[in-house]
Amino acid sequence: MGEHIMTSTTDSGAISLTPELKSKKGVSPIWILPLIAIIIAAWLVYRSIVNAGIDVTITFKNAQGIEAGKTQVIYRGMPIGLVKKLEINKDFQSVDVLVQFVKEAKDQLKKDTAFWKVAPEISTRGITGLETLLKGNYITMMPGEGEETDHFEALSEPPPFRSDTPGLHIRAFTEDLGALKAGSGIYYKGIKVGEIIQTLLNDKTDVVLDLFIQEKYSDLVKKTTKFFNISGIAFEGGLSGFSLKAESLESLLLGGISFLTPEHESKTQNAKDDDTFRLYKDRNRAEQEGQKFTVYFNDGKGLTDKTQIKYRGVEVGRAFSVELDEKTDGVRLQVTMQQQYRQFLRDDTQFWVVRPELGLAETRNLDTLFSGAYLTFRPGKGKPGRTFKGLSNPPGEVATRDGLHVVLVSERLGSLKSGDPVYFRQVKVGEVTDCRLSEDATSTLIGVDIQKKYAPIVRTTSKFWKASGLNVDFSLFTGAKIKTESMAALLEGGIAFATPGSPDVEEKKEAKSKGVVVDGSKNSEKKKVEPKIGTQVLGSPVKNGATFELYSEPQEEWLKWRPKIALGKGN
Amino acid sequence: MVDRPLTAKDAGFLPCLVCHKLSVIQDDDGVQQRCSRCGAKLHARKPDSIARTWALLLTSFIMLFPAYLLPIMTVTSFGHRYPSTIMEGIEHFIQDGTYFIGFLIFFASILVPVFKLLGITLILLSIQRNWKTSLRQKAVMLRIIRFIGRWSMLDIFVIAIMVALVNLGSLTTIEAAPAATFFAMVVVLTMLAATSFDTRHLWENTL
Repeated sequence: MGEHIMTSTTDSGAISLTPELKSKKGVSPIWILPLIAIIIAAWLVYRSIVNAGIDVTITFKNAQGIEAGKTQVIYRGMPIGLVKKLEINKDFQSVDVLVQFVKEAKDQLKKDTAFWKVAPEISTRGITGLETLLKGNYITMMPGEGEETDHFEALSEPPPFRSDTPGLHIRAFTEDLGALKAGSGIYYKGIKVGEIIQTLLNDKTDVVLDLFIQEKYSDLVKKTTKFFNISGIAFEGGLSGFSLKAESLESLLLGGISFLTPEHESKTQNAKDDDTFRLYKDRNRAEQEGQKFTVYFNDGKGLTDKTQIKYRGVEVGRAFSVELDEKTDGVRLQVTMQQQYRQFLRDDTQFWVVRPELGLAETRNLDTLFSGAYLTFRPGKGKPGRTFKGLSNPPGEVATRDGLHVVLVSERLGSLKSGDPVYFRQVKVGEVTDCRLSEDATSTLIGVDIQKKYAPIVRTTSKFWKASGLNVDFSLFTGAKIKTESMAALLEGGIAFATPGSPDVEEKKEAKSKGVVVDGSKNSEKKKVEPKIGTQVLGSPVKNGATFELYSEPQEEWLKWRPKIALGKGN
Repeated sequence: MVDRPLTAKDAGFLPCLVCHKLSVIQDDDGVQQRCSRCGAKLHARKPDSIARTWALLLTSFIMLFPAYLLPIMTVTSFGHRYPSTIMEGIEHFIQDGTYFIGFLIFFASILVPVFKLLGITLILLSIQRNWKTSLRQKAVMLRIIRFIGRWSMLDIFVIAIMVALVNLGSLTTIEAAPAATFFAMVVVLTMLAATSFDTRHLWENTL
């Protein structure tokens, strides 16, 4: 390549001062760069327009935990919006939260759409929103209907009703809601199968509960299903043991209800939406729903609205209300009797209350100390009845006893009372069933029931005396002798009797002294042998209602009678 | 008559930009002249210098917007994502009271890139508009621009180190967000723009 030197001269025509740069044709490829940049920028702009969120204002009464740029709106676990800005309302009563939603949410932002804040909450309703402890509070929503709008009022707590969930929607009525709340669970055999959607007070002062049963469990609810409250702890105790029942911790804290379908009705139709049920106070009430009847008492001591009705020790029903009755100036006890026992309710059925009795000698019905007094009855044979007059004391047990009933006549009653034992050779063979004045009030009549087995012992010649108290025999030579029946008789009183006769009356006509004597020494008995007085002939058996005189103390002779009598059969 | 010193070009020479050897301009059209010593291509001025600079500059300008507006870093802490833009990051540091770091980041990622872009724009404009004032200062500015260009990558380095260091699984992780790419491109493109510019244009037609 040869060299070509251009020199600068003052001759402007000969020398070109302009650079000899060759201008290239076309555009430099470097311009692709800004082009690409513009494309990227355009794409970004386009995307931001297409994905432009929807700005919506949600007014919260309290925006605690909501942070601009952090708090999300999460629906079914997916973030669909982000809080952009928080502004206090002009009246300083609420906070406007500006939320930008993804554009897909547009169709859901209708007038009835509900928003609420999810925060960790540990309360009686349970522990909720635990995930927000780590992630922070969030806002969630429930789509609703209506016109589109961009301003919402947030709910202060989650809406109760999730109408979109498939399942069984039924209602229950109850008088008292107790610890139940919207959100309380419905349990079946301890499994949560649904929940209380909402609770309303209807105009009839009943509480109406909207219940929701999950679809897969809806078959469990029949037309005849009974719902009952299982809130809290059920405590039942008695001498036979204590039981403490709580359905689940959740139901303990939150309250809950459960249900059962009586076995004989389990084949009935399934419940349908909007069926109504009664909500019982507890399981027992639901189980024992049956014939209702009323018993009037003079005194309601020991009666509660949980008082049981027992017959022969078996619970057959339960009271559900006890209140004062103005008409009879007493207490009205309303009771339900289980269906299968309703035939006991006859108009001559007698009811009385069994209360604990503590005595020096005898303590009875101790179980009622713990389980409370209970109601019992003696079934009648009349027409079916629904209203009864309760007895203050157990009735004379004439009719219920199939033993021998005899009447003793005494001048005074002494310390005898109904229920006192009747002894024969210190063996209890019967009971005083009732004590009353004779018609002309000249004496007292004491009804005595001798057990069937021992009935043959009572003969026309039998002698009855009061075994109550002490018989003190004091003499200079023999010293003091204190005679009494058994210790129980000493303390509590009772009646003893003896029947004349000897083991082999015909042959020996000899009496063997074997009294019912407690004097501290068996030997002393021998000394008291006395000449026989010829009354040792075994009398004939007596019939029901036979009357005897009741002596205040036995004669020595009676105590030596030893008849030989075959006992009757029986218990 | 031109009242200015003779330039190499005026004198018919081409300086080699690699080994600085002066070569005589040859007049054979269409043939690219090469340095007789080192073989580099010879140009009187860097080819398309101004156009290239403009192109790179414009690209940088465009990229600057996503770089500043999009989040540059996402901190995921306990399942919650906290994306933050450069400005938010600076704000955060300032609010925290760590003014030094806040200012450093502000300087490196906002002041410097904007200064570079505006500076190069000014120089380009002054060439095209033939503004002949304060040429010496403009030259100083260009030198500064070239010098500090590399420091703008500070942000990117910080993010790179954070992403590598803070990776505690579900507790806290840091991810680079889209703006990081754009920001890196801005930095690289401005550096290219600054170097693709032929300084000699500044003094073209001057004393």
